[in-house]
Amino acid sequence: MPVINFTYQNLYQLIGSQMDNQELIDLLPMIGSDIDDYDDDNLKVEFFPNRPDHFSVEGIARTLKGFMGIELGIPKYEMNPSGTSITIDPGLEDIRPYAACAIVEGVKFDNEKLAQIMEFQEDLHWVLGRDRKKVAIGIHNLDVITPPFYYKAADPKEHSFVPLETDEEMNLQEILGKHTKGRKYAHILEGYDKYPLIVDAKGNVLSMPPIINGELTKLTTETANVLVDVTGTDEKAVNQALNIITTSLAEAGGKIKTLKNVYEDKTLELPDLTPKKMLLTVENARNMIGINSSGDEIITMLGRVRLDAEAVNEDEIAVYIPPYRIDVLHEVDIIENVAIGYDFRKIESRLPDVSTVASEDPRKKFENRIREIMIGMGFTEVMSLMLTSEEQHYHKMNLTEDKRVVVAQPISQDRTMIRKSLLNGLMEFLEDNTHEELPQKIFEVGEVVYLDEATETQTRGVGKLAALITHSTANFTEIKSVTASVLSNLGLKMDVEPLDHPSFIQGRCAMVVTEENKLTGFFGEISPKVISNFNLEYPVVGFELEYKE
Amino acid sequence: MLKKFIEELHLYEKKILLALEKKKGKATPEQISKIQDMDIKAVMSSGDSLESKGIIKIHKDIKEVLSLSGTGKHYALEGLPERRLLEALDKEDSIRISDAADKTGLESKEVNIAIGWLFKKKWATMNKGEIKITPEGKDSLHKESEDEQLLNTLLETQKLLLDPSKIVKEGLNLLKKRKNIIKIKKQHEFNFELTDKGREILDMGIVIKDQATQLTHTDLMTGRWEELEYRPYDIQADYPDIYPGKIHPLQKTIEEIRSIFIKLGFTESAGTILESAFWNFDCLFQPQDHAAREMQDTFYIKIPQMAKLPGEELVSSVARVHEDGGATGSEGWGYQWDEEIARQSVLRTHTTCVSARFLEDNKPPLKMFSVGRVFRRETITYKHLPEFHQVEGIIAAEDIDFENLLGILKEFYHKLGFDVRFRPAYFPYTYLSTECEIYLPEKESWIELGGSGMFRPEVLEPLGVETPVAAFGLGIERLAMIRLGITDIRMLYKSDLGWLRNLPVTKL
Repeated sequence: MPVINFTYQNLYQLIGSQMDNQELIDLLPMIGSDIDDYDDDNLKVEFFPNRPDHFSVEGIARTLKGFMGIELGIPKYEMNPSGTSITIDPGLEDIRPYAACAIVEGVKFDNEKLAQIMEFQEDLHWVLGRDRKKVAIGIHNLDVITPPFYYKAADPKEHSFVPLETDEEMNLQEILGKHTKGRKYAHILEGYDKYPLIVDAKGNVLSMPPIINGELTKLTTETANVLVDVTGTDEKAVNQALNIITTSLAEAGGKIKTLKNVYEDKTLELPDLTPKKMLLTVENARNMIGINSSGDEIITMLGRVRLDAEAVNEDEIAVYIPPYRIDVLHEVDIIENVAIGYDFRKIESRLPDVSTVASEDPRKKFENRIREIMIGMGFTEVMSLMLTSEEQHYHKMNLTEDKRVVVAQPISQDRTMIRKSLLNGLMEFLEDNTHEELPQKIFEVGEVVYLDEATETQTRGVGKLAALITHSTANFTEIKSVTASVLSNLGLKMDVEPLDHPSFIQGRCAMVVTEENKLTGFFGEISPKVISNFNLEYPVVGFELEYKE
Repeated sequence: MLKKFIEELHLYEKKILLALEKKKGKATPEQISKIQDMDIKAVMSSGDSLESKGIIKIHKDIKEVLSLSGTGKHYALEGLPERRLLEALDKEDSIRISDAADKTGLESKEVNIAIGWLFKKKWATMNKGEIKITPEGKDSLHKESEDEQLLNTLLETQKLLLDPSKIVKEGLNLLKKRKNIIKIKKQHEFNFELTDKGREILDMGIVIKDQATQLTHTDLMTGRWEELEYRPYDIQADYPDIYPGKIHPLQKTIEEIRSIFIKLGFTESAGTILESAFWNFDCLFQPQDHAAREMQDTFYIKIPQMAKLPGEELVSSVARVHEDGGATGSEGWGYQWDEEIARQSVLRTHTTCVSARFLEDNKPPLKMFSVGRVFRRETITYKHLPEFHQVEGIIAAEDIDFENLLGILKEFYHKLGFDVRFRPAYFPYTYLSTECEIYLPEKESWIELGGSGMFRPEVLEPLGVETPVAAFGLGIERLAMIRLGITDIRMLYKSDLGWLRNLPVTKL
C-alpha cells in the first residue's frame, strides 16, 4: 500500500497552523491511515488504496483541515477556461482510447515538492492505473510547449524524441527496446502497430504514454505552469486521476485552467469537478453505527470529512461527493464517512444481544483428543508449514512423485507444493534439532491436501497424525506399542498387515487396519537411507495415520 | 567428620578412589573404567560427584578434531575442482567457460567453484569467457597447495587434532571458506586427580562392603531389608533431565482463542486451504484487477489450475454487483466480469471465504468463527512467513451494528489481556472498516492485529443475506509472539526442541 513521506512542517504550513507532533501522530490514524515510521522531522504514513486523494501531502492536509474543524465541506477551487484544447485521435480507439488533460498555473516546485510529485504519480500509477496499464499520468512544463495539443496514434518509426533521463533522440520503437522504462512497460503496447503520442502545435513530443515523457517538458525548480496529461483504457479512472492531481496541485496554491478534450463525437471541458449527489437515510446511519445523532449533527460530521450535505426532509440527507473521492459507491460508504467524521475514538462498544448456542468443529475436537493421548505418552507437539518441496516431501523420503497441489509461482525452491504427508516435516524437525538430547519424541496433527476431482475446489483436506521417535535403540516394537496405544485410547482395535513402504526398512513396516477404516496408515522403522538423507545419526521409528473426522 | 564422609560415598565413588590410588593419584576416566570394569558413564557421573565434594579435581582439556565431510572425501579422492580445471588448462591454450564442464567432467555447480578458486589462487585469468592459465598456475601444477595437503592428510588419518602448525592452519583457513568440506568437532579429554582431601580419605582406608543402595522387590519379599543398611544419599546430587510431552505454544494460543469464542456462543466452522478466486475474492467484492489479487501477493496454483464455480444464481449475481452493483444500489466497479478469472485456484489469502460460504448455507441470527491457515506470497524472514493462522468471525442478526462489532472485539482482546483501540481502515468487502490495534507498553506503540467491519451489501445480496453482518479477521501468530516474548516468527514453525522443552507452560 502507498506510503507517503512528508515533513511535519510541510503539513502544518498547508493546514495553516502548528500543532504538537505527537498529537498529529495520534490524529492521523483516525482519518484512515497507518503510521509506518517517524522521527523528529519526517513522517511516513501508509494510506489506503480506496483513497488516492490521500496520496499527496496536500490531499492529507485537505482532509485534516476538515477533521480538525478548520474548514468544512467541499473546498472551492477557482477554475477558468484556458481557451485551448487537446484533440484525441480516433485511431487510438483500440490502443489507449481515453485522455483527460488540464492546466495548472502558478505552482511552486522546490526539490522536495518535485520528489513528492514523482512519488504521487507512481502511487497513482500503481493503485488507480494498475501499473500504468489502466491509467498513466504525465506532468509537463507548459512554458516550453505551444498549444493546442494532440493525442494521436503514431507510427513507431516516424517519430522520435529525447526521452527523460537520456540525451539521445530515439524513435518510438527504439525507446521500447533501449530505454529502461521502455523495456519495463513495452508489454502494454505489445501487438499494436501504432503507439500513443502527445505532441504540441509545433510537433514537439510531450509524452509517449504510458511509457515515458520527453526530456523537453521535464519539471524543474523553475517550472511554474504545468500541463497534466492522463491517458488510459478506462474513462472513469482517467478522469478520477486528473481530478485528484489537479485539485492536489490547487491545494498547493495552483490555479486550475480547464482544457477542451476534443473527441471525434464529443468535447469535454476538463477537469469537471461537479460533485456526485447521493441520498443518505438518517435512520440507516444511526442504526448501522449505533449512534443517536440528529440529522443536523450528521451533516456536520460529513462536513468534517469534506463532503457537502443538506437535509432533503426529516429522514433524508443529500450528500455531495467531490469527483476526486473514488471511494463512495453506495450509501454504506457515506455511513462510514459519518463514523469517521464522528471520530472512531468516541464510538462506544456494546456486546451484541444475540443468543446462539456454540458448537465445536468435530475435526478440531477429535484432534484435541489425539493431542491428549500423544502428550500423555511424552510426545512434544511441533508445527510445520504446509508448503514444502518435492525434494523434501518425496526425494528425501525415498518416494516417487505422485499427484499433488503444485504452486504456480513459488517464493523459493523449497516451497513448491502443498504437503500430502506430515512425516517429512517431522524428519526436518529432527534434522534441525540434532544438537538436542535424546530420546526425542515428536508429533504433529494437521491438515494435508489431496487432489479430488469430485469436489468444487478439486481438492480435499485430509486430517493426519504423525509421530517420530529417535534414540539409539528405537525399534519396531516401540512404535508398534505407541501406535496400538493411540488406537486403543480412541476405542479402536488395531489389526496390522505387512506393507512395502519405500521410506521404511523392508519387512519392518506395517499397515494399520481398523474397523470401518476409521483410521488408516502405517508405522515402522525409517530406512537408513532416509535417515541419512536428513543427516540424522540415530535410528528413527514413526507412524502416520489418517482420520475421518 | 571425614568418617561420615566416607560412609556417604557411593560404591562407584569408592571404586574410582581405589583406582586412582593404584594409578598414583592421577588417571583418565578410560583407565579407571578398565581397572574397575565400570561403565564409562558411571565413571564420569561419579567423578563429577567426587569433584563436587572436593575429593578429586577433574582437568578438562578441549581438543578440536578435524574430519572430512562427504564432499571433502570426494575432493580428496578426485582433486579439488580448481585442480581438475587447472590440469585441463595445462593441456589446452584456453578453455571457454561453457566448455569447462565437458573438458573436466565436473558438474556445472563445481565448475563455478573451480573458476572462483582459480581466480582466488591466481592460477588463471579470464578474458571474454576464455579461461587461461597464469605462470602461478603453471608453477602450481605439480605442487600441492596447503588446502590440498590438509585434505590428503585427513584422508589418510581420518581424524586429526587441530594443532597450530602452519600447514594445518593455512590449509584449514582455505578449506573453511568452502561449504561443508571440513567437520570440526570438539572432543573433551578428562583427567582425574586426587586432591589433598582425597589423599586423606584414602589414607584413612576405604573398604568396600555389602551396602544396599536400591530398595528391591526381593528384599521386600524376603524381609532381608531388616538386615541391610541403606546408604544415605547426597540429596544435592545432579539428576538427569526429563521432558514432558507438550502442546505447541501456537496451538495453545489457538485453543485459548477457540475457547473464548465458544464461550461467547459462536459456532465453529472450517473450510478448505485451496479456494477458487471466486470465493476468495469475487464474492467478497474484490474487483478482478485489484492489486491484492496480483501474482506477487497471492499464491496461484498450477495443479489444479481451475476450480468449479458454485451455483449459476450466485455466480451471476456476483457478476452483476461487480459490473453495475446489481440490485444493491451500488455503482459497482464498472467493468466486464470474467468467469474464467473467478475459476482460478488460489491458496486462500484469508479465512473470510469460510464466512462467505457459511452465510450462503445458514440463516441469521448466527454467530460463527473459524480458525485456519492462510497464505500470502511472502519470503520467509524473521517477520513474515508464507502461511499463518487467522481467526475469522461473523455475527449476523437484525439489530447488529458497528458498536456491537467493537464490543465483541474489545471483549475478545480483554480476555487475552490486551487494551485495544480502533481506527478506520479499508477492505474491499466491508464498510465501517476498522483496524484493531493493541497497546504494547514495552514498545510504547500500537500494534495492528486484525481487520474488521460490516460486510458490504455487494457481498451480502448475492449470498441472500438480509440482515447486517459484522465481521472480523485477526492474525494469531503475532499475538502468540507477543505473549511468548519472541521476535522471530520462524521459531513457531522451525522450532528449537530445547526451546519447546524448556518453555514454562505458564508462559501462555
